[in-house]
Amino acid sequence: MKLKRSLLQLDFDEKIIFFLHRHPFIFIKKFLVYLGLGALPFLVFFVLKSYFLGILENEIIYPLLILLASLWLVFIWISLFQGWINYYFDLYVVTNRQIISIDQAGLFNRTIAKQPLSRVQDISVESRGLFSTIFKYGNVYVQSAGAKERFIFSEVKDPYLVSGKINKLVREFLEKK
Amino acid sequence: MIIIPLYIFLFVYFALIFVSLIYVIFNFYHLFRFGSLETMTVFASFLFLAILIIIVFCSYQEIIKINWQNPIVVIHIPEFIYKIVPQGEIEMPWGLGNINLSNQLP
Repeated sequence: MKLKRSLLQLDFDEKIIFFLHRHPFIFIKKFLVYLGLGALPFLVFFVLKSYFLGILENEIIYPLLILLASLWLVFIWISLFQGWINYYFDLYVVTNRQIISIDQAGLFNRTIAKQPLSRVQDISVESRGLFSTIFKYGNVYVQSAGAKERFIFSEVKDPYLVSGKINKLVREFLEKK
Repeated sequence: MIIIPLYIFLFVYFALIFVSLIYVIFNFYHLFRFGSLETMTVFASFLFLAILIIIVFCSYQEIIKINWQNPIVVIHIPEFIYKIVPQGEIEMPWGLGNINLSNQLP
């Protein structure tokens, strides 16, 4: 993914060290839920065809079911696409000076939070549950002295590795200072 | 007799599809404004449009099989109306189920 520096409002000499999305499993989970919802009209048609054939032969109910099923599939598909956009634009960026969290919530809500490395006090990792253990994802909490006291990298891949990298960057930053 | 045809639902359907298409355009605007023209976004957009077209096309295939002129509601006009309204045809808006009183008289 190419990051737009103008969007992040980085300084001229500021370097992006790495950036993170949520773990792909988070989107796959959502995708499976939407897949189930998308299969619902087909399931309903199967049940109606098997047990309530009269309803499908009705001249009024059948066309309405067709329209409803069509609308349902269109809405589910568009929602899934929007879910992917939200997933894709939810970003955590670590530069040589600060950490940035871009939270995309819907089409028109976007929150960009920044935390200078100089204010980082403590970094902790949380990996809970079966799936997060299997797929190696979790939360990284960055405790700081800033206004937003706790900065969270939610459901990122290899949280221990990420916390190690941030720790190293903070150390390097403080040494340079 | 007033007849409300089935295609009223078809109008509602097309209106909702139109609204969702506008929403799709907003999504694309959003995608290419914050993102950039790269493999992932182009692939996702292509896949999304392809499946959307398939859904709409399959729906169209089913929709054209249906006779949308079928009535959903038939309202019978009580007899006293014939005494109030002179014989003739009452035109309804957009020609929906025009009322022909002369045909209804016993």
